[in-house]
Amino acid sequence: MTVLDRGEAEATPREGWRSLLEPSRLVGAAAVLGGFAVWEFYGRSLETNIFFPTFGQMVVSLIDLLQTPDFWDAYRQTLVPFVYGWISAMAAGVLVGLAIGLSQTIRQLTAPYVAFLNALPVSVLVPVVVVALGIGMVARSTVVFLFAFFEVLLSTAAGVRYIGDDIREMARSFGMGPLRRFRRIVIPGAMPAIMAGLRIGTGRAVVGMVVMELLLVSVGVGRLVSRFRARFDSPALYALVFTLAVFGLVALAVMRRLEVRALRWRGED
Amino acid sequence: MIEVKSVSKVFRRNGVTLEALRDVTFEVGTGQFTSIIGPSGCGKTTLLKMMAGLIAPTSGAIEIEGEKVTGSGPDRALVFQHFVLLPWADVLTNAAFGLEARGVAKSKREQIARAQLEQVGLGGFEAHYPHELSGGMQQRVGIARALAVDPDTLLMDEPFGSLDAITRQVMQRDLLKLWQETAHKTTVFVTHSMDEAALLSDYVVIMDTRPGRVAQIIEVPFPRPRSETLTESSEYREFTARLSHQLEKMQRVDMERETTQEAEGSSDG
Amino acid sequence: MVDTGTPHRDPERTLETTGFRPRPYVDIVTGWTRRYRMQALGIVLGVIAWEIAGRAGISPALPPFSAVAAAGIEVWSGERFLQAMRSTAVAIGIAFPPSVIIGVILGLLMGLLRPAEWILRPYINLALSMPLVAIIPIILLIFGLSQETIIVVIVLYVLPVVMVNTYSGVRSTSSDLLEMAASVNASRLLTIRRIVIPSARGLTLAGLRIGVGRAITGGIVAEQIVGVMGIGGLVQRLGGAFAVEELYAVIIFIGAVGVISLAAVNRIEEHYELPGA
Repeated sequence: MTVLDRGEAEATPREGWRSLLEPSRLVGAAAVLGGFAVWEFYGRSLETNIFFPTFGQMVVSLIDLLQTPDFWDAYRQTLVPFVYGWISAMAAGVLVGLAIGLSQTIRQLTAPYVAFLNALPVSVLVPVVVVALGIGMVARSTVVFLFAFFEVLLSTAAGVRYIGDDIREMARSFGMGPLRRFRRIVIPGAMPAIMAGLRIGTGRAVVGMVVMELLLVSVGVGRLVSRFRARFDSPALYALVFTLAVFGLVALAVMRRLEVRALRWRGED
Repeated sequence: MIEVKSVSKVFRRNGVTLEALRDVTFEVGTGQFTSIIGPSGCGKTTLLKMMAGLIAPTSGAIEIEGEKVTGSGPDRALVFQHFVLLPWADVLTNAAFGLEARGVAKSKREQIARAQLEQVGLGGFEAHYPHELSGGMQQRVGIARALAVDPDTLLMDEPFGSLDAITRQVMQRDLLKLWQETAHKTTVFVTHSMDEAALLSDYVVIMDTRPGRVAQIIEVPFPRPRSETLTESSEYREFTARLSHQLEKMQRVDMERETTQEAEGSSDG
Repeated sequence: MVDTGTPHRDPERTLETTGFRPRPYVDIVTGWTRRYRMQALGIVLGVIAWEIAGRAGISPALPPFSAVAAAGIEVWSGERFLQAMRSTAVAIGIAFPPSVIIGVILGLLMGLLRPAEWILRPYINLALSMPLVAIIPIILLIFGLSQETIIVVIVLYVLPVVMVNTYSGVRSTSSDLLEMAASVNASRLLTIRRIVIPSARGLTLAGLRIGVGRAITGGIVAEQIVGVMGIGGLVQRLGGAFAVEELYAVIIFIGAVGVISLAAVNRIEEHYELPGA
């Protein structure tokens, strides 16, 4: 058998619900549960749980939290700027990305800025946003926007660029006008990259939301974080972070689903 | 009638000059099948693209029916070596693409496309996607697409170059049959296979390389209509062997020239 | 050349009847000089627009470029800035190497041993799919307002990425090569040494490249949240003091560092003739 032990395990992948029973999945699930167990025991072994609660304590706190109106209010307040920033980033990112991908002039003129903003940690722009726009709804949405925008832009531009010169040339040889070329070649051709960009951009938007909450502490989840930290209520803090992680994972899962769906239908007139 | 008049093409990229074609002159009679053959680097694809109107000659001109070629036109259609189908569209949409480029209404173009697909032997495959088809079938779609726009001139760029030997043979025979039994379109066919050229064409333009130029123009002596059994005849074999040798000699001379130049430390574009 | 007779130019078929729009030549003249000239033009235009907008007083948050440049010269040579830079650099310097070493080892382990892959996979997926920033308050709670917090955060940012890329590199080893090794009866160790590890080099380096970026990002955002040290802390303080010119100067510096380090790692990758992941 070859060193990397390929083939056997992948020989007969299971279908449907039985795929959950595959050894890789089972061991993975066991590993996670094992992790929880280790967490629990380690927590119990500590002198104090101020910094590190047991797994059980976190779960109790989580259930508690989910029943508090304060918690849901906080999320409601956090989600509004998230949605604003996220949606506008996706729209703007695709539009600007298309422009950059299609026009060599625009691409070359903006190249230094794109390279700069790509290499820059976006979080350092947050103080600038605060100085310019305060800490209200607009500022918070802008933070989310900035985190997501560049990813979508880069993916879209790349998608347009690498459609393949030969397809473009073929369309030109048949005399297809630019508008039709855009509809029938550019958009379908760039779609995989655009959808991937939207997915990654969503992940970044969630990160932006969390950064916004932690740096622009006024209302929402960020306020809860401060409160729990100040009180050294570690189970509640951990539980809160857990909900943030879940939110991010769910958002990504949804986008991934959409990505798969969209690519299956694309190209039909 | 296609007239190539003293066409030269020089490429300049990043300060390096490449003379692709030098003073190429020949004619392609209306309704004739002409092959252009030569070792790699002789500029045959460049020449074809100039006929298609996708590239401009540096000097000289190409005239079709007395009018200078200045761009792509409805009278010519290309068939590409790597098929260049739209991967996200089905066979019918692909075959109808050239018509769509010209704004033909959907029902009309689908009707025409269907007929062409039938003619190239793909009836029944309209709903398939390119990735589901073999190379030979994909190229048939490419040919159907070109024929659908009813061009005066068919320009084929090593159309069977990406196919395996057996498929290639089948395609050659089918193309011969198709061409002889339908409208006898003026065809310019780029290939590197002498067998192919001898079977299909009325005239063969043999090109030498570095720089690309016409070495010889040969009339293929076999009478029309030809059948596939031609390939078994001794005259055919003699003819092709003689010319293959010539091609081989040109290629070897070119290789030697390269190595002596490297040894002498000079480089010639 | 003999004309075979039947003309195929249909006089009825003109531009109007076919609806064909002839596309003229598109001769693309792209020398690299044009590209750099355009980019330079872009920078110049941006700077000019910035200067004009700044002078016009659109917003207190937008000082003219000249003011930023002037402040920049002061700030970049100032003690406060150098100290902040040192602090961040030290944090990254302490956190990055062990993260890479452990990441590569674990990545190799995952790639070579199925059980290791099954156990570690869910954790890596979690670390890469969740908003990792959310974990910073927890780290802050445990380690307090200290550099340890920054270091731990950087490790958490870098480790999963290096692991997953090394793992991919191992799994991407050509099965042809592995079959060949099996056919000559090469030992497992020899195969790993001569085939698997060299094959994994490309993606592993890509993981390092991404890791550098994430170390900088993670370190700085942690510093911003902690608020008192390093470049991140500096940026927060400048913002709080409404010292916009200095703030922009520092941001430009950070971006420039990012661009340069990215280019440097790309150059290293190219030097080994390895395609970037």
